[in-house]
Order: sequence, then structure tokens, then C-alpha cells
Amino acid sequence: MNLEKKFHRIKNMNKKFFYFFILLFSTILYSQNNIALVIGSYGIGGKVRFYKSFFAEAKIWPDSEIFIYSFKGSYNKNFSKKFSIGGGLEVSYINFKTEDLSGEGNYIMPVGCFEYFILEKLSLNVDLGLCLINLKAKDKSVFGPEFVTNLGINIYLK
Amino acid sequence: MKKLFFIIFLTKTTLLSWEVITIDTNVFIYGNGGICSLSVDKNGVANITYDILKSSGMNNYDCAIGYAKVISQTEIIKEIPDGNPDDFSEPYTCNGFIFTDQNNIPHIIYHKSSDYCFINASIMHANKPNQTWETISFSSGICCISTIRNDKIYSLILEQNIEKKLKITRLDINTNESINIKTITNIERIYDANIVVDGLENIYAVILISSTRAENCSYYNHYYYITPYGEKQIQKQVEGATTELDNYGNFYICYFKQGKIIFSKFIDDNFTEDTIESYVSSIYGFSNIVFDKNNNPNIAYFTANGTKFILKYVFFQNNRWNINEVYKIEFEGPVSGPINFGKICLAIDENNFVHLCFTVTTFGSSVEGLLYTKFSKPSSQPLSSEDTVKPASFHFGIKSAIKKKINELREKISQN
Repeated sequence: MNLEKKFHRIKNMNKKFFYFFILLFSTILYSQNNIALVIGSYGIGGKVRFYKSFFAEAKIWPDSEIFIYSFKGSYNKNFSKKFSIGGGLEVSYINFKTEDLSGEGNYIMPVGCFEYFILEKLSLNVDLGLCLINLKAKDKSVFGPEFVTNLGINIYLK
Repeated sequence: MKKLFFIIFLTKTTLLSWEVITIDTNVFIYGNGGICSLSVDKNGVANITYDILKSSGMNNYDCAIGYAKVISQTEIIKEIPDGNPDDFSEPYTCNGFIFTDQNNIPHIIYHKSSDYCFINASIMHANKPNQTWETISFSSGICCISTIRNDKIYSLILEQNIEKKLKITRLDINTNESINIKTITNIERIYDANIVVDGLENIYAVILISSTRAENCSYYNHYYYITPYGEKQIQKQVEGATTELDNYGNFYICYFKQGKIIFSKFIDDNFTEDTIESYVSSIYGFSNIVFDKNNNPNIAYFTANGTKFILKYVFFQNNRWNINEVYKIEFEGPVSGPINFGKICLAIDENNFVHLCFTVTTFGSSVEGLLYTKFSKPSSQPLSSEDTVKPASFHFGIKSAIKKKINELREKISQN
């Protein structure tokens, strides 16, 4: 990759970071309470409750090969103080760059969400979903479904 | 999302708009349909032979070998290389085979008999070196199939006498000298045969000899396989089949059995089988198998679906069979017995255009005649691997799922 291309890539990355953080902070701004830091098998990000049992979550996967920006909207119903079940939809933008191939794509994933509170401010999160992935590189594309499980820890700040 | 809906509504078979033209309605159709043969020259011009009716009178079976040169969809030259079409005293003629030589000159091999059973039929060679047809008789019997190599025509000829001999002859087109290379005896009835000659003039031939009806109403066919290294007989029970040898002498059979169309390659004394299409209610005949420049097979066949009689063209590309419907005739009732299918001939020219000619009629009713279509080989149709959905698997973490898709993408790019 020459310098010019590198520069454009960094420039594009910064743009995406900018949009991502706008999205993250706007959800925090409109949140009623319950703001959490999310660390999981799918990246790091923030989660907020913005209306009754409706949650919004923005995450990034910072990786040298695959960079994922994702946003999830979900509805979680508390069954007890410790346990909640819900469902939602996750959408994302993907940018990948391997040794021989670079390209971009996106996915859309309807998910079932399960959350278990280990402590008052700490919970374990499991998402099960059917992920429809679409990737493009060198004028070729692939599209298809994959079953995905994501594990995460939510640290509630408020 | 657009793509998702597309995938959901994607059916296995795609109907495209194929422009099918009628070359001749005056086609002699009998038994299992009209006979035709197709060869494409270096300029992409289709040369076709077929049986034409010389009269339409009652109980009149006179016919002649017809020749059609399809320069474009609107420019078709039709000739009768042998005899006057108005002369009803001409003998019964059928089963022509055509190809063009290195100088784009068409050569027709056909048999010509004065009796109904072709017992003493002459094998004729017609060509057009100086704008007029020249015809010679060089052997006797029923011509099955021929090929050309180094200005020599190699023919598999069945002699329909008591001994039932199959012979391979070689005709030099410059000297008209014909010699008998090989004779195989006790051949019953030939269902299909093919001959390929390589650059060193080694002969590869496959003969599908049929058939004795088994208890379960299936046919037992014997494949007689001739190579420079020896001869083999292979037993295989199939219902309707066509055979071909590719440019390397590998032997292939495409056949129909128990609702499936199967493409089979004979390698190391074993058949490796690949299903082209499942849940096929009936099959009304296969075309010849054509191998393109990448040695990928192409084939066409007639099948039926409810009230529709359908000609399908399939080709192997990107590790899968791609099925396309080329031609349909709609009937008032379900397609069953009263259909009289014809012969289908397939060829691919230097520019990857596919040429298809076929004869078709309904039994005892309207005659469709000899039909022809030329189309660009579908390389980016919706059924290409671009739209193939591979089965989903389970992943822990989204990254693993995306990595799988990147590998699929890498595989696809490397294939192209």
C-alpha cells in the first residue's frame, strides 16, 4: 500500500470514528438512566437505557484485520432482579484488511438477549443471533447467514 | 436487505428471454423425433443438417438430407445437398452428421437407403469445396457419428445385417480413400455413441449398447469403451443417457434415473456421480455433451413440468451446475404420452456463444419443426456462485463468522 492510500484509509477511519462517537454520545445524552460500559467477545462500547425497557448499544471491534462498528437496539424485560430476557436488532459496518485482501461490508443480525446480574452493577450478557453478512472486495461479493453467539460483561456506571 | 429478499425469492431455475427461431417446419419427424446435427465454424456460423420432408402426401415417407447455414437470426441459407426435393423417387434418407473442416467447408456424413430398414444403406459423404455439393458413397451401414482430424473423417458405422457389426472407418477428404480401421461384432442396438480422435490420431470411442428391459422396467445398458490402451465393457443400469469423451479421452455419461439427472465421469474403473437436477418427473432426451475451453461440460435436455414441455440448457461453472430454461411449449393438459420430442444439438463457438438446434413436435398434431437459438453463455446470471448461499454454521463471536465469509470471498476471487 502506498502512502497516499494509507492516508486515505486513516482519513476514512477517522470519519467513521467521528460518526461512531456522535452516535454513542447522542444515545448517552438521551438516556434516562442505566449507562453501562460493555466489554465482550464482540468488541467494546457503551449501552444506555433510553426509554422504559428499550436499550441502545454502540460498539467497536478494534482489530488490525477486521474493524467492526455496530449498533444494537433491544428490548429487555426483567424477569427478576437478576435476570432479563429480550430481543433486538444489530446492524454494523465492517472494514477488513488481510495480507491479500481488503474490502468492506455490513451485517444485520436479529438477536435474542439474555442478561444475568452477578453484582448490582455488573452483569453477564449473552446474545444469540442469525447474522446476515455481506462482504465485498475486488468487485466480488459474498452474502450469507451465520449463527453467532456473543458473550459480554456490562459494567453499569449509573 | 434488497439482496436478502432477492435470495429468498430466488428459485433454482431462471427463465431468460431466449430468441428461438424456426429454421424449417418441413421436417421429417418419425419415431423418436426428427434427426438433426449441428456444427459451428470458425466464424460462428451454425451449419445444420436435418431430415426434410420431400412430400407431405399420405403414406409418403420420402425425405432428404437438408442443410441450413445460419449466418444470423434473419439470414439463413437452406440447401438440399443430395437430389431434387420434388423428385419423390429419391430414397429414404436420414441420420446426417455435420462438421466443418479447417477451411470452414461443411462435411456431411449420412446414410441413404432404398428400403425402409436401411439394411443396405450407403454411407454418403457430401461436402461443398467449390460452392457446389459433391457426394460420394464410401461405405455401407447406418452412420452413427463422425469426427474430423487432420483432414480425415473417422466414423462409427453400424452394419444392420445379421452379424450386427460396428466398424470404425477413416475417410481421407483429399483423396476420398476409405479404410476400415476396426470391427466389433455382436453389437445389438446402439443407443448412443461418440468418437474422439486426438492429435496423434489415437481413437477414443464410447458406444452405449442397449438394451434388455429388466424386471423393474429399467434398461440395462452396456458401454463399450475403446481407447489406445485397450477396450472395456461397462455395465450400467440407466434410463436414457448420452455419452461423451472430453479432449483428454475421459469418458462421461449423462443419464436420467429415479427422478434425477446425473452427470457421471468414469475414472480409475469407477464412476464419480454428480446430480445436475433432482425431482425431474420425466426426461425426453439429452443433447450431446459439449466441453468448453476450460473443459467444463454443457448439456441440454427436454423435460416436462405440468402442462409445460421445457428445453433446459445447463452448464458447469464455479463448482456448480447452472440451469436455464431456453424453450417452453404449453399444453392444455399435463404433458405425458402424446409428445413427440426431437433431437437436441449443442455447440459452443470460439467466442463462447452457445448454439442450440432442436426438432420438436406434438404427436399427431402441430409440427414445430427445426428450431434454433444462439445466445451468449450466461456467465453472470443470478444463479452464478455470486448468489450462492452457503450453509450457515455456528460461531462464538462475530469475528469468526466474518472470517469465514472473508475466506469464501477469497475463494471466489481466486476462482475468477
